Amino acid sequence: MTAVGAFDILLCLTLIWLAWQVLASRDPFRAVVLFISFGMLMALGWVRLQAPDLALAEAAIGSGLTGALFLSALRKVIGGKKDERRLDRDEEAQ
Amino acid sequence: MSAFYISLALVLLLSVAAGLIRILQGPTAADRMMAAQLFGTCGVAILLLLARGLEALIVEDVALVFALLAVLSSVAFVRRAWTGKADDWGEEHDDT
Amino acid sequence: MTKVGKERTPHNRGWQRLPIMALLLLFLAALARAYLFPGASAAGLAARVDASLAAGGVGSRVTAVLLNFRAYDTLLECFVLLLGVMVVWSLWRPDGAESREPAAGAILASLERLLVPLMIMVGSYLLWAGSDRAGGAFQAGAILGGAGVLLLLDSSPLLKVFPKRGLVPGLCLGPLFFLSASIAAMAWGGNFLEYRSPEAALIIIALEGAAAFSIGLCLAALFGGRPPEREAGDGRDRPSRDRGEFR
Repeated sequence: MTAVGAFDILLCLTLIWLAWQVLASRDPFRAVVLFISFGMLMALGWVRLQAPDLALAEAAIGSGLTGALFLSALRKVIGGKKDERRLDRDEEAQ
Repeated sequence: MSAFYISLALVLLLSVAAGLIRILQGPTAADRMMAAQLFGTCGVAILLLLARGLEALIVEDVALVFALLAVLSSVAFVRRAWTGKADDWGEEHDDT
Repeated sequence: MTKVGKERTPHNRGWQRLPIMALLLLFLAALARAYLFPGASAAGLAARVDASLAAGGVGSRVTAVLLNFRAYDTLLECFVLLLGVMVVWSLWRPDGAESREPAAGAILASLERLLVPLMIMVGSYLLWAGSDRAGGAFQAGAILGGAGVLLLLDSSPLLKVFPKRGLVPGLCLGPLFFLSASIAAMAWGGNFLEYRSPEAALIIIALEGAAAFSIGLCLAALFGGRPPEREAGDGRDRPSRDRGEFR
């Protein structure tokens, strides 16, 4: 197997696995970090698909802007965390 | 020579994949974020190696953008998520 | 939080997953079919783009498609971004989070001093490179937006330098310039959004510049989330607008 082929296969597997982990993660912060990583690897994927325009956009938006946006949004959401915890307890009591 | 560059990129991608474990397990939020930052630096290196290996110099531009903007998420982490406390975060919100 | 998450499994009922899985498998099969048996559309439009590239005014295929051949897509995207900013502004509620935020330290301040000029430079470079290589208005705008986000994250004193009244005109500049240029194209004898070869290159560069500026501003405004009018009354109107989650 050539090095390029191995690179592509590893990239694809990591991307699919990352996407799965983003969706399956129950900790929102972990999901955000995984999503940032997904964006970074996706930029590599666009490079391998010979779409440098998309790679540029993905590198800028996927790894930088959405990361900052999600982290800020998470902070707003966690502002209501105390309520959420109470809800958790209610659910468990049922 | 090109195969050599690609193999080096492959090794770096493997190290990125290994860093994923830290994101998944990472006891603290900072561990997870540092792993993501490792992805950023590794990504820049991989892109530069790919630019040489595939002889597509436009990829260097992608590496430039990557290097510039990967820092944003870590700044956002420091400013919006990290409280300096050990394990949890967002605990500074009091009930007032 | 991980520990809390482990106990909470609201989505673990298998039978609910089945229809979704079936739909996804169908979608996957359709994708695989489209990929393996491409049919008549396999040739794509690349040949036609290449044939008319000379009339497009720019050397890059992607830029030619985005700003000339299918410029209405890009025009509408600019308006979608503007609409997004309007929606975010209308949803804004002051929750006092900004006042709790500590000032940026020396490291962040120097990082910002180093990076913001670099980002502006690289953004302009991508705008310029977009005419014959990868790059263009959206990429440049995204980097400019990144610079804005960095300033916002640091709650930088530099933000006070920008005139607040300039924000809304700045946001509208790109879309309106785009729209007026395409209407002007009609006055020059063409169709809506039709730029002919001699002046196309110049128009596209000007359009891209305006669009990149507005896209960057839009992205930063989306991140900031705060409409400019309420700057002064933030502290006072808080009780009436509070979501009441701390009652």
